[in-house]
Amino acid sequence: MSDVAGDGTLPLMAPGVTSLSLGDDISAHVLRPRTLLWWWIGFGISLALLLVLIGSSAWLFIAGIGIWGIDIPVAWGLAIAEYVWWIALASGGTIISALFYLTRSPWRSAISRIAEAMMLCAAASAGVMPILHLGRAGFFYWLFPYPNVMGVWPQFRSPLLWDFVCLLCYILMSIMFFYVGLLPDLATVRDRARGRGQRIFYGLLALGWRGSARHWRHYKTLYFILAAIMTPMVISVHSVVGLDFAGGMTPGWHSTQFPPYFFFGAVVSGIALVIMLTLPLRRAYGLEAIITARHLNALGKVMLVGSLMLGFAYFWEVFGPYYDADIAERHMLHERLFGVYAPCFWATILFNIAIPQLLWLPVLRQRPVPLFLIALGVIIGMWLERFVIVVTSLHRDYMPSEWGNYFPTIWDWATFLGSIGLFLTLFFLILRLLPIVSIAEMRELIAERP
Amino acid sequence: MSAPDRYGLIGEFTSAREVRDAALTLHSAGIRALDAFTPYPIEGLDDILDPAGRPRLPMLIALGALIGAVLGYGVQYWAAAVDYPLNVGGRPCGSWPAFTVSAFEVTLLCAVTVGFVAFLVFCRLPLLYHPVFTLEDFERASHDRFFLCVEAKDPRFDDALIARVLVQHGAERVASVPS
Amino acid sequence: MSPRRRDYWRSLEELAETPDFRARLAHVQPRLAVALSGLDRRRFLQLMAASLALGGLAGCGPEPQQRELLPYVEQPPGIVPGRSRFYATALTLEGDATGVLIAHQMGRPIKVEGNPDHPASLGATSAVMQASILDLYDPHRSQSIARRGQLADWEDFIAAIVARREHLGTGAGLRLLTGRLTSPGLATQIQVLQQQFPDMRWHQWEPLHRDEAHAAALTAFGRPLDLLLDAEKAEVIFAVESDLISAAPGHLAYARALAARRRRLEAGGAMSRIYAIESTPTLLGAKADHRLALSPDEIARALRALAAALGAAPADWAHQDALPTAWLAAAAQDLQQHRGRSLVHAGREQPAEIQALVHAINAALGNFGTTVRLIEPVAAEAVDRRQSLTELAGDMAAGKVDTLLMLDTNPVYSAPDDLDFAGALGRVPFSVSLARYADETALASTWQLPAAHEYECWGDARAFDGTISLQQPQVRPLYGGRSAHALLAVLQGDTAPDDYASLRDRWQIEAQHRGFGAFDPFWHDALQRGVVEGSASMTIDLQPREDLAAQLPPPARPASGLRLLFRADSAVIDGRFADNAWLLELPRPFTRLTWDCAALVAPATAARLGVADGDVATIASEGGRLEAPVFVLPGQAADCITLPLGFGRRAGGLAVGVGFDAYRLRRAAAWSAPAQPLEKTGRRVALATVQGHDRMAGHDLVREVNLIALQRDPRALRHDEPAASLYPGFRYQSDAWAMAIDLNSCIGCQACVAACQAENNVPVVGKEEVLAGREMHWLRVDRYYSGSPDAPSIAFQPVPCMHCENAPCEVVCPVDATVHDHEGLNAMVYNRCVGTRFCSNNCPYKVRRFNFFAYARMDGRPAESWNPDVSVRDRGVMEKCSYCVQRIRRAQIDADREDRRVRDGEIVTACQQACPTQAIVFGDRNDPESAVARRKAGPLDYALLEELNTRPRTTYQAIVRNGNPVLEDKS
Repeated sequence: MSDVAGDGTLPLMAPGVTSLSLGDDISAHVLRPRTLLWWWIGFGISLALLLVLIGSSAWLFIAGIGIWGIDIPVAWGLAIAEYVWWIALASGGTIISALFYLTRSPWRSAISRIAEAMMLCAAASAGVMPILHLGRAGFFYWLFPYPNVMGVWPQFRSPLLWDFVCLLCYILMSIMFFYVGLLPDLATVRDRARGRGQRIFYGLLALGWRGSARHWRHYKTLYFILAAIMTPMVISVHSVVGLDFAGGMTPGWHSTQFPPYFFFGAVVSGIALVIMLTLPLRRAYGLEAIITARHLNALGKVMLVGSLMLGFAYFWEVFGPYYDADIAERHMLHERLFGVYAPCFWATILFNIAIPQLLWLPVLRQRPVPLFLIALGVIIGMWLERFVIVVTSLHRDYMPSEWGNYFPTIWDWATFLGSIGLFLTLFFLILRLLPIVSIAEMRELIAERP
Repeated sequence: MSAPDRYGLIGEFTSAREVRDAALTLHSAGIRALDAFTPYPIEGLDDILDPAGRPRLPMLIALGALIGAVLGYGVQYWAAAVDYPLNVGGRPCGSWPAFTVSAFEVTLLCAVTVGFVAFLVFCRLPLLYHPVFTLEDFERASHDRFFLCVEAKDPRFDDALIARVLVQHGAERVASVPS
Repeated sequence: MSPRRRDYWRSLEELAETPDFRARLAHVQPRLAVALSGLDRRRFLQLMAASLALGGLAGCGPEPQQRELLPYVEQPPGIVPGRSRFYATALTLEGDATGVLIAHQMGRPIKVEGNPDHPASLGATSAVMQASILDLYDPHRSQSIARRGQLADWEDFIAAIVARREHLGTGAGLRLLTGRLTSPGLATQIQVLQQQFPDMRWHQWEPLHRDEAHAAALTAFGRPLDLLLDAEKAEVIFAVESDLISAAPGHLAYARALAARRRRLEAGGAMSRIYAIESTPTLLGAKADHRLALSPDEIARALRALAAALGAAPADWAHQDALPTAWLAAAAQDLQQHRGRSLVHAGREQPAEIQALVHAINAALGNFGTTVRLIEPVAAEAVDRRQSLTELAGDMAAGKVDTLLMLDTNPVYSAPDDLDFAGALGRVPFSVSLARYADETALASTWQLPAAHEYECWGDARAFDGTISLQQPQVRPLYGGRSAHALLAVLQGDTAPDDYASLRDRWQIEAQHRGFGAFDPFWHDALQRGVVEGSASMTIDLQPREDLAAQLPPPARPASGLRLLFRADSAVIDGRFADNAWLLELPRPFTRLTWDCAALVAPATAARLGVADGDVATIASEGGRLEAPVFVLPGQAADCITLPLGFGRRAGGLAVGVGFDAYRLRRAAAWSAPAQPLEKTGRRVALATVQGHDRMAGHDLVREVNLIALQRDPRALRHDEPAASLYPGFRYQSDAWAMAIDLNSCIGCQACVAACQAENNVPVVGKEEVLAGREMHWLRVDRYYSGSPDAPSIAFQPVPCMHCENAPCEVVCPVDATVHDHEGLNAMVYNRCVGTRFCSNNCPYKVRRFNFFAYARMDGRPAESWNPDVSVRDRGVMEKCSYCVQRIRRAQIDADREDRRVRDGEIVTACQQACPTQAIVFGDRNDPESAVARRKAGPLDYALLEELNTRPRTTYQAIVRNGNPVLEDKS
């Protein structure tokens, strides 16, 4: 399509797209009797990775948490870093589907469903991490306030508990938000379905949606309010994750800027993952007609903004220890900048701040390949950032006598790969079963089209 | 003089404008038991069909939020300060600032849940059977056609009149929906 | 006590048929015994259940049925579960006895405490003593008699000995090899044996011999004598690589005296000043106010110079080149000013020449009779043990030895390499090794007998000052071990030896000799208190010969190049504890190494040789060569390589293959040897050290102040006051438990660490886990260096849980698994812990320990050896110091029973109880009169990381260095 800068002039969709063709295309992908080869391949790989997660978790429960590289002082390792990473990716999905709904950004409609699906899958991967990392995972439910024989309650002051509550709420709310948005499209698919099984399946899922005027009225009201609630929610989710660290007194964690800092990270990495999922899909499903250069352009810009905000946070993180004269903070910082883990830190700067600056160039941000590569870099960079925050802070704290290092073991890595498997498996299933573009919203756009 | 064996009379339109006009005319003719089925929300249509109806969702959601807030904070305070007070790190038992975070999350959760449930209730969903589903070609209501249905239960229901109005406004076809 | 046969029965009926059982049953349950005659099976089994239970009870504990044992204080009516009964006995190391009280729970020995009435203990214990309980239960101990590797029977052995006695004749071929012995009982037995076999010879061997001192005594006094030192009277101490507070006989007592003098500040009195010159760091050196790292030659020259300066040697010795003359002059002057109130002491590794010079200097300073006293040797027979072993080995090689009994000694492993003891042993037709483990010697002997642990047999032994202790068995031999007494008795022809009877008989005579009056009360008292009243040796009023210095050989010309120093390892000593997991995992005071040993090299030397920690280098001397990992040790003398002895065991349990065997390089049992240049192999190994970083990195974790500065401004250290809080703090109405740790007293001996491990069931994790940073010690002793790496100031800091009032760990726990109790204890609720580990992350002191694996399950200890008062933690839960809450509760229950408040000093934590220097004080902070409150009120008190406002209940008292103003101004 055209490479003209400034999205005002970029068309939202190809002229040929009509309400009928759109509905047919999207539901065709779902109703297709024979599954495509690339789906099978992708799904197979994902499933294999998922098995890695299951296997490594089994061994974890049998042998104990010691199979990971964690120790004293570094009692948290990859599991926590990945938890933060995944939850950030999930948040990115909500940001697009909720925040940009409120801002009435037309480019959102075509990719909101992808973003929401991604959000659910990432949230699932995030959710397993804190449970796996427990010394006695079987008792994770003790974090839930339920009346029990001992009469004890959770300790509500703990940031970990905040996080537990927060994640739980977030996942439940996300599912409802997702389903409401999905309802009209399920009806569309139902009405296109020919096979008996498909009819029953989507008939049930659609709950008998008729697109009656009353339905639409309530639908619009609810969806708007949900978006309005999900937006502060997603901001709070990652702020609370930030509090997990800021709530501790460990040098490198104990910082007031962590909540916004983490949210910035969520924006960047979330958008990056949306990009990484959208571009291949666009290709595979031939969605070039509705996911145009304008969308890439917009996504690129958002990622750029996120990266700038992150840069701001990085600056303050380095500035802080020099501003306040805390020795421990400074030691930790020096180690972070020049110590064993220094490469990770500098890679973070490179991937999250330096490279994304290329997005200033419309030429790059509107082309799939460069955009994809930059996004990939950001994803890696954000993973490293989490690793750096978790590990380097712990490995140099107040007592020099107890300084130590942490190096992930094969089992740490297996868990990491496995969590990716879980994410992809879920995503491929959604891809196969649900319309991956919000048909109803697109139709509104088509209708509004002059 | 309405016949009870029918659900109503339905017209199939090809454009949103047509269905809006038809609805307007019928409504001004005093017919109230009207409903439209469209692939996407039509600007202003719902106001025509039921101008008095003020959405009650927002109030309910606000109520849900309120319940959530009270519940979220209450449980924490009661458990930590009343039911089983413990000296945790020398902090006061009722250290309220630490309770606000979870309370906030629970507030939002309750709001959304209430909203979701209320939405289904108001839309009378799930409802897997509805007379209009029997109408052949109705599945296009979720694609490119716009249906306007007058229910037989309306006191002013009048076959001829309604059929005329529908056709006037460009209904491709008018059919009666068996109940 | 009659040897207990370990034969197994197939069924209860069969058991019931054994006469032994019927006898015991008759004793325990007379009526049942009668009933047993003729009754049907069902009824029999019913009765049996009950009786076996009783039988079992009778079985455990120090065989109450057979011998009357006397508890330490008063005899409680029967065993109360959860209640400890204490029995006094004594533990010997290289012959020197230290009195201990063994805590029994339900008749099982559980914990070792020092015996306050014993001069060598004064209530304190060493790490080694704490770990002895694990030795007792060690399942790796050898459990069966073997003839040439074939299982045999005690009866077979007796038969063999009886047969042997026929051919012994006058005993020309009969030899006895023991370690250093102080036991009057054994000595008498050996005398009797000597009368039976006039030509028999008794040899002795100690790898960590004190022959240098022995030789010096011969030169100085004309006969062997032992020294008694008074570290409390001494105002100026000059230590020549002194083991005064680390290894010397009576070191626990000396440490306490020294600390008391160093703490005089509290009492307002003068504080002693310590000068130390040493080649490798010692505990006393670390406490020194002025310390110099000198090579052996430099030490020799320095001491000559000192002697000359103090008029103890020809004046022309005063001019030694390449020495810090100013430093020595200052020291000399200081000593001079404290005549009669000073003390010069040299460690056992110092050559006879230096030991003699030390005598000369002490004499010149008029310290004999004041700070230095002489007594007759404590050892049963004071001989030069190197020579003794050399002669034995010679005779063996020459085929003059046909019968050799080796009691509790392991020469095949520890003998100087050049003697080729193993080869010689091969030529002895009949050799017997009585050893606790199937060690190198045992495997090389024709007869291998399992030795009983000291807690398993009767005996007696003498302390460093001659005081005699009686040893009572704490439990029946767990693994069928035999005592040395029994073995000698058999050799004397007594085929059914009874240690108890012979000991009692001997003491009946002894008591008469000594005029102890009526025997029974004496015997009762001696056993009960673990000390024979008034048995300490008389002081001998004697001065070293005037011309002592003149007698000394001319100074050896300074040798160039590297020198090897052979030193005892602080935990496995000479290798005898190399199977003790606690000791292997006990961090060494300076290197903080566990499960491993390394060649210690000074930083400067390491830099010159281009080696770093973990580099494996080939070390060679004329003795041979071995490969050893290098460890850079600040405070080590330049060009000196310290090789710890006691590792590289080839047989005898856990320690096989751990570290390298430095004995292989040791010729003629010398303490140092010239080394050939180091060769790097290029390989590296990971050394399991538990300390991450050696310096305080800008924090004032260990506060140190110079006495002068302190006198100028008494509040020099009390800077920051606790920060204000928005919320009212919690009130602790009743008791507020708190701890004060005096860093000025702490000598870094690690006894507290071992005590804590023993008391609190702290599991052993093994080298791999230590390398992974997962050691479990609840209490650690951090070691920090300050100043230049080659002449650093060394500080030790014990770090238990701080029990912060604003505990950061508690706030972050999501499940209330760690909370405060009403007395301000930071409690850890294992059952509630889900293992988020956030508490550890948030603990600025990093005192929390996590069960990454089920360490307690993996720990090889027999179940009965765990302390039943402390729950054993399972996998996935956090744990930490509890201030020995079980002891607190016990004291509170007692107090409640008597309807009173807990008295100050009534609660003693395990670490506090073990501490030789009383550095740790525990008690109720609310009571202004309590010892802990008074310590905290002192000017030296400070909280660790005060700025974090955690308000720790554990606080520290700063180190005070009593620097010599003359030298202070220079530096």
